[in-house]
Amino acid sequence: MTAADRTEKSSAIRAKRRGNSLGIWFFEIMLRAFGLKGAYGLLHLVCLHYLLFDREAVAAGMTYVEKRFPGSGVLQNYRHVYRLFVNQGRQLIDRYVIAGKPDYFQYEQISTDETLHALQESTRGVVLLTSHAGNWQVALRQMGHLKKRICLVMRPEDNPALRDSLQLGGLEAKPVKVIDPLGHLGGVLEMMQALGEGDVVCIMGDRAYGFDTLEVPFLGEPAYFPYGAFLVAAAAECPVLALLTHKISERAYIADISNMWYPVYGKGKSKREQLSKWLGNYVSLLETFVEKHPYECFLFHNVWAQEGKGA
Amino acid sequence: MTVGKEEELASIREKLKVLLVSNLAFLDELDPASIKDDEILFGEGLGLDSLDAVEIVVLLQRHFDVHIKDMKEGRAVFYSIDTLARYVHENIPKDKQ
Repeated sequence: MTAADRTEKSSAIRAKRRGNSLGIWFFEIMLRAFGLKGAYGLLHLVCLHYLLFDREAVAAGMTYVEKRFPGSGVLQNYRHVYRLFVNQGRQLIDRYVIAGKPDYFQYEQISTDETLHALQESTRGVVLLTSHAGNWQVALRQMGHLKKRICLVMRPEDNPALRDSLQLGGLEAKPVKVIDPLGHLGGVLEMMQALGEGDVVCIMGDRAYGFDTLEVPFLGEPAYFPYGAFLVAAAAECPVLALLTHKISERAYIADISNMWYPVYGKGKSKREQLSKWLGNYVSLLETFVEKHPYECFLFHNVWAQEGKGA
Repeated sequence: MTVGKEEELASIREKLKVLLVSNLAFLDELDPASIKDDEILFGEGLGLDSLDAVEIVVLLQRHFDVHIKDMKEGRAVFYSIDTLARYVHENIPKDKQ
């Protein structure tokens, strides 16, 4: 992919900037004065504003809602979008809280001996595959006890006000390296190097950032998810560990890191077919997650349309 | 520059071209000999993309035992067949030469 292609596609996926310093200041005041409940309360008014006046945001949420709740009426769908907005707002507030008070939330973990070994003891790198479903930043923050360095493959926050207030949800306290997927060759060389050095490389499994995708079923229709995580893991001979996080109470999160795959190419099938199978396993897991926790899925871009084809 | 080094570089360039054509799906119908030594690999040149870069990293490791330790070098090394060949020549273990 050329730099020009990446810039063009970057523009296409750039989110509209929402929130400003004044708005964030109001939330800070509510947090200090009334705690989480106060900030969450203010959120309902703000989300109502977005529901009524931000057509772009509503349309982005509606794509997912129509797939997740087929058969719902128009008003019901607006209600679903509103709940999505509120949950995403809560996630941002929680990230802000964690940046100042890392231990504010309780944290439970579902894991296996194998996944814990991969994360804690193995000298191999690990691809940690997550998506815009649940508060993955909280889980990463709680991985502070890991000996491994964490490398986040993500675009720097577009919105300066949000970037300054969230500060990666407190992750800056750890030796976290950010790999820009819009950098040279999509950052894949840096990912390979990090995995070779035994790092945890965290990749978003639902954002293509202009990279190649494969068609896999998601919520009953063909969708397009990037397969780069599996390709990089297969090349680096590292496992892919899925991370799914959701909130179980106002001050508690649970992270599921019990699903892991070792992508090794076999004979008889093309690499593309094998990548498609591995990717399908992950997307199936994601589908199960959003079926259980429909309002913790923040796919505010259309994974059912290929980038450059009306996405 | 000695004649021996030039011959070694030429040999590596030819081997790289064959490896790329036989391993990268996008190039599978290309004649290795038609790839110019100084042709840009990514973007407007041969049209390879970032995911092909992953495959090339693995090819260098498997066939030449060459590991790109500092990926910051990547931009210069992955520029063309010639730059790749020069990197391989400089970093290939003695017993693989």
